[in-house]
Amino acid sequence: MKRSKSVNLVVVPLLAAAFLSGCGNEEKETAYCVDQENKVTDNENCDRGNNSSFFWFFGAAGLGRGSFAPAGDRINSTDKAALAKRGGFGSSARSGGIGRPTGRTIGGGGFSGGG
Amino acid sequence: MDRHDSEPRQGWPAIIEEQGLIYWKTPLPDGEEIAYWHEGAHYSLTSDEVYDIEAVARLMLEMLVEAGDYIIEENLFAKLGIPGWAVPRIKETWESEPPMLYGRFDFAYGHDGVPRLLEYNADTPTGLLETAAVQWYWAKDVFGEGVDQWNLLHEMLVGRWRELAQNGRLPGERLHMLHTSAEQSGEDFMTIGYLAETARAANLMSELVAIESLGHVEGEGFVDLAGQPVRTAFKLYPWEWMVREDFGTQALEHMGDGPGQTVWIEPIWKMLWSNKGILPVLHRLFPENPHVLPAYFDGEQPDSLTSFVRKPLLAREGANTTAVIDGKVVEEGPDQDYGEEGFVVQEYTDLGDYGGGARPVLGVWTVDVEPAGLGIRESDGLLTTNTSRFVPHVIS
Repeated sequence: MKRSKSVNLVVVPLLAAAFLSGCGNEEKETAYCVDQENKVTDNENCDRGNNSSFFWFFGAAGLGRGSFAPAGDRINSTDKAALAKRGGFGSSARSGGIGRPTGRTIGGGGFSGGG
Repeated sequence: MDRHDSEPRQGWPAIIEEQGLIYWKTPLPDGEEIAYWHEGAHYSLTSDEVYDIEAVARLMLEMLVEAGDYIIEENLFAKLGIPGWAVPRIKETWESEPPMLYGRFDFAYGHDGVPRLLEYNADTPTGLLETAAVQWYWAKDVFGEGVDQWNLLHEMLVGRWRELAQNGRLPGERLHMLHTSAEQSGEDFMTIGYLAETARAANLMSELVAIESLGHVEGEGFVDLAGQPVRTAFKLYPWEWMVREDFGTQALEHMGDGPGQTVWIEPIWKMLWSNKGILPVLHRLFPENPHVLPAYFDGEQPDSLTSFVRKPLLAREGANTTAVIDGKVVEEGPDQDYGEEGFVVQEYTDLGDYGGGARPVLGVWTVDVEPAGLGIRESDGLLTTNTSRFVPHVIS
């Protein structure tokens, strides 16, 4: 017999369903650097990583400098996970001073990285 | 080997989607879609045929080791389009042998019954889930429990993860399984998802991560979105892209199993085997071997070679590939801008018409350095491209 005895798929059906439910087509998330009032500022305020009055905010693309991000998750820019330089693999399209792609999708069905 | 018509299972699309094959529809340029999974037919092989092909795959792996040594000794990296800054790590890992998982040979198997190597996909092979799981379930559903198939792929992948873990070769608390979010059909995501399944079966924790979201902290190495260190990363993303991207330098500098370093699976030396430049090297070393087609770096072929397939060193799924017979172009693969690094020219070989113009290519999977199973894709044309169909098989 040259066939596997059993092929037990537990994770695969869940991932397939998550992807089909739209995880693969959702909008790409953008990281914005915001101040304490949630006003969008230049990324470099957060990139320095030494000023706890700036935060990374994660949301949909399209916010400009000076606009206000809606209430939502934000991470202190001194946080190590936020400090990491991201987007160095895989992304050929990268934006400039305002916001940057995170590689995550919004509402990714609970799987880190989304689809 | 024979091809037979089969009755598709009632409701097969829902069955294969549940098993993860959500990317079974291939869009065509004209907006139509074709089914990539085709259970309206199947192939049957005899045990003797399977043992023969398996023996050829084993032999090929030994020949590939010699070919790798030769590339390094003769310093053929530039001919293979491999950038100089990647070379030290390739040489180093070729010697130190960090963990590797899998690969897929593509063999022509014409009516003379001699398997001939078309290429070896050593770095980012796909077609995995449909081989290891979907056709396995198909065989059981259609032929019952007693059916045989050349397919120990699932079992061997699980075994390989277990072995690597037991030998302490997968540092970190969990595996980071990297897919690219740029791939929209789900093929990439589900291939990674299936590999996470095999790791789970080996009692390993893993996390699916888009490679785009990978972070790098100076002095601490690669981190995931939660800031956790990425110590062992499986990537479905080719090295030839990685070494040229922004994080390529960091990946090369901090490669290894120490703190702040990352073990990459597949290892970077797979750039030698997955490169089509391996084909002329194999021909140079083993010119008499019946399983190695005459092949040359483009421009070095003799004038007498008038029927050939010209392939870019680094393309996938027949992209930018041209078939020439008796000096005339008979077929061209889709243009996806490959070929910048150069081309190889491989003597044309007949894939064989197994009925109704169906021409199969045998995808022989390897786990570590062992042949593990078979997945057959067939085309109506001479080239195997992204419009080819996966057709299941049994051992008769």
